[in-house]
Amino acid sequence: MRLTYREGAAARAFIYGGLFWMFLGMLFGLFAAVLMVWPDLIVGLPVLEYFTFGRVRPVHTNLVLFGWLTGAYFATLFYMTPRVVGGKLWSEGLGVFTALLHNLALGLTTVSLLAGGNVGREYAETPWYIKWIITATFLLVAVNLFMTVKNRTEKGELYVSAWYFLGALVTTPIIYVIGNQFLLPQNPIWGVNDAILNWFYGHNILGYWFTPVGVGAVYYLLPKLTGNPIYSHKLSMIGFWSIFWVYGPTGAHHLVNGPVPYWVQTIAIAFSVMLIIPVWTVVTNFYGTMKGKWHLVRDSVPLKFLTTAIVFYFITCFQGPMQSLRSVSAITHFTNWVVGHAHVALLGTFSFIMYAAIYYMLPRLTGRAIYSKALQEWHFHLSLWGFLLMFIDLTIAGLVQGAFWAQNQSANFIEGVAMMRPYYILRAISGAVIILGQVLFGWNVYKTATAGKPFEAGQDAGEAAPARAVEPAGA
Amino acid sequence: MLHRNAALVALGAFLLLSFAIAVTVALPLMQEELYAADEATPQYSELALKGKQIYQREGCFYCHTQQVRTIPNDAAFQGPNKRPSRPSDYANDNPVLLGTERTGPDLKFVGDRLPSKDWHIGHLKNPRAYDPRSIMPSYAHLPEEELEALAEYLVSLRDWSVKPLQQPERLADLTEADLPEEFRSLQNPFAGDLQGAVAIAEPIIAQSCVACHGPDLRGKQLTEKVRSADLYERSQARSEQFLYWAITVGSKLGMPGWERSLSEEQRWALATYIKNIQQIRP
Repeated sequence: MRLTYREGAAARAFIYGGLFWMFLGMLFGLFAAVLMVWPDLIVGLPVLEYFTFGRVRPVHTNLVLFGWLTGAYFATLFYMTPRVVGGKLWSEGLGVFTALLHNLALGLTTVSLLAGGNVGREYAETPWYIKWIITATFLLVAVNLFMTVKNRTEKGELYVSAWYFLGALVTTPIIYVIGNQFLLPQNPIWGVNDAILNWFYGHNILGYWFTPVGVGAVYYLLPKLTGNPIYSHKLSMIGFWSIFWVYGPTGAHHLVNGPVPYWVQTIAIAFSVMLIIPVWTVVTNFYGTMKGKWHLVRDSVPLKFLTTAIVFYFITCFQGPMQSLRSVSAITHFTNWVVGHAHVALLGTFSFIMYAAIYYMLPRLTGRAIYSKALQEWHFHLSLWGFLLMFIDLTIAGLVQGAFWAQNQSANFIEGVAMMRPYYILRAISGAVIILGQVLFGWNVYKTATAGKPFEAGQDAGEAAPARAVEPAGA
Repeated sequence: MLHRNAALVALGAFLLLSFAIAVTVALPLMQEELYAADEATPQYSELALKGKQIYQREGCFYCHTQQVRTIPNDAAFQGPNKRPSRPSDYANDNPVLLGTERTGPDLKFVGDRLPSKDWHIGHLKNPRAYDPRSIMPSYAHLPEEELEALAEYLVSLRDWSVKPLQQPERLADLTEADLPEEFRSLQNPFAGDLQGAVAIAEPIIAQSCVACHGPDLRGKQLTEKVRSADLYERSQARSEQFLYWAITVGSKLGMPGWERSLSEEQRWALATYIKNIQQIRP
């Protein structure tokens, strides 16, 4: 017997799975934040006492990065790729199977990290056998989408979103394998080169996975939601080719002023500063596309998420190049500033893009309109203000920390720890606000899928746009 | 047109990434000197390696860096040779646990600052007994042999070209008769200058002593087994030279040796302060 799946089954599976991992991942994040305020909270409690900050933090990062964002990205790729190239997803069955594999990998990740399976590399913490499963999910998605593109019906020039998707799918598995000790149980690389490889991966999983798929999704959604074509085809091209060129060598900016060769640091800094080119290009192109349609933002929550995400993208990608400079890094490195910076990229930018994408895709995948507009608005405002509180709080905390260390040349360190307490309290509160927003989001998604009114195309602000509003201007 | 062909777009992205791999992965991998050990490189015992596994497993590296940067901001974390860390310090590390956050202090040379395993075990069990402001998790739930291994790893994080401090077991058991010969004849540079000593000692006491000896400096219970000294009592029973020696080398039970973190003058100021503590703060 051959299993058949209805169109969109794979994308739906990844959306629901992704949301589950987002809740779990964010709850672990909140738990870690609370432990920094009350470190003795779990002392003496059976089993729970093992879940100290050091075990909880990697569960948070792995679940939100690989469970939530990567899950939502797979859904986005499955939904958008067939629509920009024409035709259907090559295999819904393979897609659903990939979703099962993805959930298996994340379940194993959660259990193994809590049980003490951490192998000691940031963002590559999981034991080697889980890394094989995660690599397999990336490869299966790549095969599915390359076959989709191969069988496409639109034979003209590929739309810009497809460039980003294809570029990400071909590079990410390579970066993942290099950065995860080549999927071997024992890493063959000793000494500081281990850290150089770790940060080649740690930064490029952002540069070649989280950034291009997120940017590709915005290139798809903005014309759909506004009815405008992309502002400039030339900027699209500059943005795409320059980001794939300058992102790669930036990893060692995580090791600035550290025990790695000076030239390794310098190359990383030079390319980090060059990141301004693709970022400002893309941001200009996005806001150019909004031209004349800003009034739509008032009534469209997806557009609210997108336009704020682009602001945060600009902020995080201006911080990044500046933080890589030796003099700035001297103050900000190792502080809470960096934690704030990471959240602007992964929560403020890419998660916000995925919220917009899910609100856009869900009615088209389920045939049901979004259940509640009011809940959508609450989701946006709780996410935005919760996130802003977290970002500003951590940024100030980082500057206080960095200045205190510089002033004392790191002597009397414990006083700097004590200074952080009010900031840690505020950060935990901001996390709770964000999670409250996501609970409303999850409820809205659940009600949409089960009790939403029938959806008809044209209900969205930009639905007037042609099926491929996406026509490249210069084609 | 390049953008008509999906394979060409993918190939282009792959080639651009290949450049990054060649320059920032392959080139450093080929640098022999990045793997070379020297006399300062830590040599981990089997127990220390077991401790390192526990350090990884518990995620200690999320809050503690193991890298002293090449900038003055990190000066307090430098080892006995007053230098930042360098690639050879990590030649025996796999994985290398450089860390990215400094929620707690850097640990690259913690074995030089705090050479006592007992100190580490007590601190791992109850960090807030050693300083109420600490936010480190308690590891009292780990079995005794794991804490022992973790402590062994921590004290091996030092500059191996410098001999570790030779510490006595327990200072409370020792008398003037146990004071090493070379300390007996030392002259106190603050003789007759109590005010000078107080001026130097007071901020150091506030920063480094009250955490364990209590704000009144009368000692406190740190763990079940360990109680820090009542400095009033010590001031009565010991000579300035003995106090200076105790501050310099510390003890295996837990008193840190301050030879590497405080100057001779600072240590003499502390010894003078404690000797005259009744008079300074009755």
